[in-house]
This record gives sequence, C-alpha cells and structure tokens, in this order.
Amino acid sequence: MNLASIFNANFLKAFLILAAFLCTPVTAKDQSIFALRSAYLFYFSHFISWPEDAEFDNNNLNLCALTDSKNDRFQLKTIENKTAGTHTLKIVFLDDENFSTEKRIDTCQILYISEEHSNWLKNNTSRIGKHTLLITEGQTSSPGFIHLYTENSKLKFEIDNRKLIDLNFKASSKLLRLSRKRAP
Amino acid sequence: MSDVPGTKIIHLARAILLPAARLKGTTERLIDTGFTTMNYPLLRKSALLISLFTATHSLSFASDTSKSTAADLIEMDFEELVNMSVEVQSAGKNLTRAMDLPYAAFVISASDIQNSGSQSIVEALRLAPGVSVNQISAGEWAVGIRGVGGRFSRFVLVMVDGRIAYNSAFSGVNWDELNIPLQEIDHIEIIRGPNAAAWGANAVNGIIHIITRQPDKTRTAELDVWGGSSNRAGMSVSKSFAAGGDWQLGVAGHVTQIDGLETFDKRYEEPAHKTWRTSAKLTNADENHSTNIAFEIFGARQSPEWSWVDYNTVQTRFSPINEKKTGWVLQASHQQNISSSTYWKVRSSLDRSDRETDLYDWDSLNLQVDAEVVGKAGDHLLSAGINTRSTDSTIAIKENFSMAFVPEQRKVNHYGIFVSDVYQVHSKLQLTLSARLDRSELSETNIQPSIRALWSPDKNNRFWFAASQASSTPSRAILDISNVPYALIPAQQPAQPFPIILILDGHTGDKKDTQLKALELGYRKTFNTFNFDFTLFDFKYSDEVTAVLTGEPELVLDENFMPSYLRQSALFENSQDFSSTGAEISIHASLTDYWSTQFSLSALSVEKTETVKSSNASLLNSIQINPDIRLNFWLRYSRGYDDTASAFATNTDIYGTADNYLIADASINWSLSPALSLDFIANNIGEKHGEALREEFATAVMLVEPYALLKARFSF
Repeated sequence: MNLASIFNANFLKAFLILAAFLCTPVTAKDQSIFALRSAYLFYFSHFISWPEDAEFDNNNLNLCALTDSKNDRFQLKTIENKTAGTHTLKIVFLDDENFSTEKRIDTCQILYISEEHSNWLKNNTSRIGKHTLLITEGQTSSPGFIHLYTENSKLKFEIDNRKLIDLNFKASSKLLRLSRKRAP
Repeated sequence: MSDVPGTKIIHLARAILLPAARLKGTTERLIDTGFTTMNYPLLRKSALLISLFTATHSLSFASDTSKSTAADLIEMDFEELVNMSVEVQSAGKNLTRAMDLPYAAFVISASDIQNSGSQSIVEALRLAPGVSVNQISAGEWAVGIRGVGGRFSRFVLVMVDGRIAYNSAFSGVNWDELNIPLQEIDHIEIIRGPNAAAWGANAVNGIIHIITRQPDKTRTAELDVWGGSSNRAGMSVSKSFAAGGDWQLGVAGHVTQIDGLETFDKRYEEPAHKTWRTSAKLTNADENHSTNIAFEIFGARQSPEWSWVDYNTVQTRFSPINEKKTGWVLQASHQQNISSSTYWKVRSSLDRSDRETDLYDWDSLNLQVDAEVVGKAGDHLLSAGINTRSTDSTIAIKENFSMAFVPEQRKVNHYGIFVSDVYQVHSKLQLTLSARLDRSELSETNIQPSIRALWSPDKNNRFWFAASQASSTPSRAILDISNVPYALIPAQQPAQPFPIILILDGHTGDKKDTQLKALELGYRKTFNTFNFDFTLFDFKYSDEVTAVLTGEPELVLDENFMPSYLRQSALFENSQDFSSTGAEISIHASLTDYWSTQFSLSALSVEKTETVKSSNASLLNSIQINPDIRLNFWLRYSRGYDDTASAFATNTDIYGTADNYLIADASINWSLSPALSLDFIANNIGEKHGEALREEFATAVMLVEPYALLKARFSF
C-alpha cells in the first residue's frame, strides 16, 4: 500500500482539522452503572434461595439499600413491585429520615450497602440478621455474601458461597458460574 | 471460489437461458431475445475503506444506555448483563429496545446464540429480521440482507471487531473463514439498510458486525465438548490470564467436525467439513483507554462438488473439489478517551489466507488501517475518520479448470474519509447528517450521503426516516477474468446443429459503480412487557453489473478440424436497474418472569425482469423452568428465499431449487453445578430440505438434515 499517497494532502488535512475541532472536552454523566447494579440486585433475588425458615411479610421480598446516590435510588425504584420468584420485590431505603434504621434491618431479605457506607457496615455487622443476604460494593474491608465491583468497565461480582451454605442460603449453579474470581 | 465473474451467471444461464434457447431453437433467436435483453447481475463487492461502525455504533448505544433503567435491563438475560460493559454498551439485547437509533438494527447476544442452539455464527443470524440464511453445503452458506444475498453476501458489509472480513479480489465474504468459536462471541450487531455513509462502501443492504469477547482474567476457563448424530463432534477451550502490568491475555480455540450434506438426487455426499481456529488476545483497558492486540490462526478442509463446462469434451463436468485452507489474522486497536463522550481510536489489521484446491490456488493478503475521532459539541455529536485498505490477491487457475485470471496477482488500494453529525434539534427531534468519500483503484470516486431523522413524541414511541445513497465498487474478478465458459447450450437439431458455449471475457471498460438510493421508514413502540419494531423500505438500484453478448458466434473446430461448438462471447457491463420493497417486524416480549419470546417477520419483493417475492419468520421461545434449567424452542419459516432466485432470477434451475420450509430447533440448557452445564440440542427438526444453490459452479441442491447434539461445558 502506498501510504504516502493515502495520507497525502487533502484527506489528512481535512481529518486533522476536524479532529482538532472535535477534541473539545465535554462532560456527560453515564448512569448505566446504576441501572446495571440495580438489575444485578434484582437478579440476585431470583437466583438465591432463602432458608426455609426465612419469613416474608405479605410475600414481599424487601431489598433494603443504604446508598446516598440519587441515581441508585431512581434505578432501584424502577424495579419496585417486580416479581422475584414467588415474591414481590419491595425497595426500602435505609437512609430515609423518617424511619428507624434498626427496625428496618430486621425486615430486609436483601441488604445492599454502597461503598460510601462501608464504615457503617463495619460498625453494624452484628445487627444484620441471619436471613438477610448482605451485598456490598466497591472498596470495603467487610465484603458481604455477594460483593460487587467494577473492573475493566464491567460490573462483576464474587460470591462467598461457603458463608451462604453455612446460613442455609442456596445460590443457583448458574449464578455461581457467572460469579468472578477476585483479581489478584 | 468466490465471485468468479461469470460463475454467478452459470447458474442463471442454466436457469433462464437454456430453457429459452430450447424454446427458441436457434442461435440467432437466442441472441436476439436472450442476452441482449436479459440481465445477469454478478456478485461483486469492493473492498471497503472506512470502518467506523464500532465507533459510531457504540456511541449511539452509549447514548441509549444513559436512558436505560434497571427495569429495562432486567428484561435481559442475566448472563448478558454480566457480559455488558458499563460504559459503552446498551441495554439493547435487541435493538427493538434500543429506541433511539435512526436505522433498522438488531443485536444477537451471546445468550441468544446459546438459547437458539445455533452451532455457527451464520445459523445464529437467522434470529434477525430481514436476514436470509440458507445452507448450500457443509461449509458454504448464502447470507443476505433484504435480498441480494448469495454465497458471498453480496452488498453486505461483514466485520469482526472492526476488521472487514471479505476479499475484494472476489467481492465476497468467505463465511468458512469466520469459524470463530461461539463461546468467544460477545454479540453480533446487524444493521439493515444502507449505512455506507457511516460505515463504508458495500454497506449497501446492511452490516453484520461480529464482536468477540475480550480477555478477562476473572472469568472462569471453559472447556466445551460435544458430539452428536452423523459424526458431529468437536471441542473448544478458552482461558484468560493476568499477563503482567495491566495486561490480560486470553487464549481460545476449537476443533469442529460437521457432517457433510447429500445432494437431493443422492448422487453425491460430501465428506465431513473440518475446521479449526485458535486465537491469542492481549488487552489493557481502563476508564481512559483500551488497547487490544489479537492474533488468530485458522484452517478448514472441505470437498463441495462443483460443475463447469469443459471445452475439450463440450460437456458439463462434475467433480468434488478438495479444498484446504489456512490463514491468520493480526489485529491491533487503541482507543483513547478524552472525555466521557469524546475519544479517538486507531485500528490496524493484517490478514492472510491461502486456499489450495484441485481447480485453483487463491492467496490473499489484506491490510487495513483506520483512524477515527468522536466527540460532542453542544447539541452535536460529531464523528469523522479516515480508512485505508490494501488487498493483494493471487489466483492461479490449474490446468484442468477452464478459466483465467489476467494478471494472476494484483494489489488494489482503497481509501476514504467520513464525517457525521448527530444534531439534537430539540428534545423530540434528532437529525443525523453524514457523508463519506471513497476512492478505489478499481473504481471511480464515490460520495455517499445520508440524512436520518428520529422523532420521539413520547418515551414509548419513536418514528424514524432515512434517505440515503450507497454504492459498491467492483471486484478484481469483474475486471480480470477472461475466457470463462459459463454456460453450455446443447445442440438442438435441426435448427441448432452445434452446441453453444457462452464465454465471459471481461468488462466493457465503462466502470460504473452499482448505486442504491434508499428510503426507509421505521416505528418503534414499547409496552410494559413487550416492544415492537416495524420497518418499511424502498430500494432503487442502478448500474448493476450485467452481461451482454458481443459479436457473432464463432465456430470452433476440434483437434481433427471438425466443427465442435459455437463460441459466443459476452462482457460485463454496468447497466441494469432494478428495485426492491419490503417490510420487517420484530417483537420481543417477556410473557412472564420466566418466559420470554422473540419474533421476527420479513417480506421482500424484488422487481427485476419480473416480480419475485420472498419471506421468512422466526419465533424463539425461552422458558426458565428453574434457575438452572432453561428450555428453548425455535420455529423458523422460509419461503422463496433461494437467494439467487429472490435476487436475480425467476426461473427454476435444472439442479433443483431451494424449498420453502418450516423447521424447529429445540434445546435444553441445564446447569448441573457451577463447574458443569449440559446442552441437549435437536436442530432442523422437520423434513430434509434444500435451502440454497451455489450460484457459481452450481451442482444439485444439497439437503439439510435433522441432527441431535449433546454439549458439555466445564468451567474451572
């Protein structure tokens, strides 16, 4: 290929001028991570079986979230009342000012703790019931049964299956197969 | 061999001309009424220069992603979510859900491929509306979008990770070279309609872009082993490693044996088609950049049967051609993000294939270099790029085969430039203006403009309209072939005492490019549990390649100086006009939280010498019986989709025709444990049927048979 002829004159000039024009920095918020994370939480409710003695008030499965993110809240609300197996998914935000956090934790079948609240988790682990599926995210010294993290632009999760089995939860084979090994 | 000029019309000549000749009875009348008035389009595609598909497409998707909610995403299979990139990919398992694209598009995900039970990339393409996929032989397929298909996917731009996957020497996509293991497919993007302005010449009727998975050291290694009826067997493996620093290495490979097909008259049964491929990929990516390097080696062996006219015996010869192919691909790309919506990208690939057969040897070396930049400025989303491609091919015809390439070796350079502006006029109206300029050493300079409008009256409804022009540049094969005997017309006493051999001898020299002017109209609507996508199109083609007779027939004497046959010469010419209209419907529904279904229906009418209508439909149901067991049932219907017939001809062929068929595929995916899953697959359930004839060197149509397969996947 005669590269010289290809990159000659007009084509290259036109491209460079346009490129310079286009490289003006701009910003835009990408919310897809929030949508993805909420969708993951929904699917965890599908692919995990709770212990037989776990109780579900009115057949509701309460997904409690401790997060400051408006995007998280918006996305989680979009899956409220969806059917999760034989249950109806209910979203409960734990940082609501008008409720007792302690009381709410008792009724959580799933408890999602965002990264910014990992310190809260460190101090309140004992308050989490044995029938609550703890899900954490990001950098934390206290990862939950399921831990979410982002790597190479993908949202991944790892499962502590030993802990799940000890507490009589059961993760489906498919979920376990799709979980990732934590990068060294 | 792909797109040998004249070979396409061997079949057509047999289909149309022979009966005409028999009826007319004389050579003179044949010439008067046949060749000068009938048009014989040929397969042809030019090499394409700019490949901005990924950049622009990804950006379009990214735009859509920002509007996706978790409620949208949970309609997808969880496996798809896990493989989804946070930043660049969309919620759209099907583009029916990607509401804001001003063109007809469809995405086949890795989960779709698994649920369909497909055993190759081409089989999975049947899920998409407007795409016709028909099997010719064990390793040959006729794939088309909105008609004009054929073995080499005429007018369809096929890419793998941005690398253009066709050889301009013969203007064809060799699907047997795309033997990528299915577990390495991330998804397949299909754009119907001309998107030449955005993605390059030859994206005339559509684009098929195969996106492969990138190495991921956290992903479990996989070993697939399968076996089934009729000697089907194979295995594939993939594993990723940390490769030092931020680099990750992925290796994958497969060895597959597919049973050969048998002709409908049981005269010939192919031996098994054997194929293999191995790849190594390196990737280094973070939120600011992505660098990928890949090297692949592949090979295939097959023995389809061909026919051709033998000058010496003045007979049509039939023979299996034993074909051995090897090749490799080296590809590298780098994307640098300047901001969340602005980036530049460079990509380069070098690929080589060597094909050795009993009739010819064909070697090709292709170099592709692209550069592109995408950015946002106010309400404008702008993109631009340059692209170069060099194709060096050598076709050496062996003594026992009757044709010639002159010169045997030729290098062809192509280059182009592209600009596009997606302008958000206001909150409910988006305009996309784009144009590209292409130059090819085999062709004239082409400008391909397009304008697209997207109207969003509310969040659940979208209307889009597009007017565009696209062109396809000629292949070497159109220009360089000579002395090709593409049809034999037997003698008919007393009016025609000698047989006639029609000889194709090159091009008239007036090299125009086939042009398409297209109008498209689309509508999308989403409901709570399903979405709906409808498209209408009207295509007008001009300056298509045809063959015209030149001069008078000449009497050829044999070695004893006795009259042997009449030699009638013909040349290619760009002078044919034709049109097509059609409609496509695509529906995806989540009937319950455990039952999803996707349906597509396509209808096409091609106006040429007469009207040819064709249609196909697909209905895939997936039922999640429990978290670890999924049942899939896929019904496929095809009518009139003999690609040759639907695209060019209306007459039946002496070697049989493609059948209309209704076929079912069924499979069960069972995750026994995190380390083992099983797929029970039964495909082509129904009567044996013929799907397509090879349009070049055709022989009797081959029958596609039912088969069963058990596949075990080990994860470790």
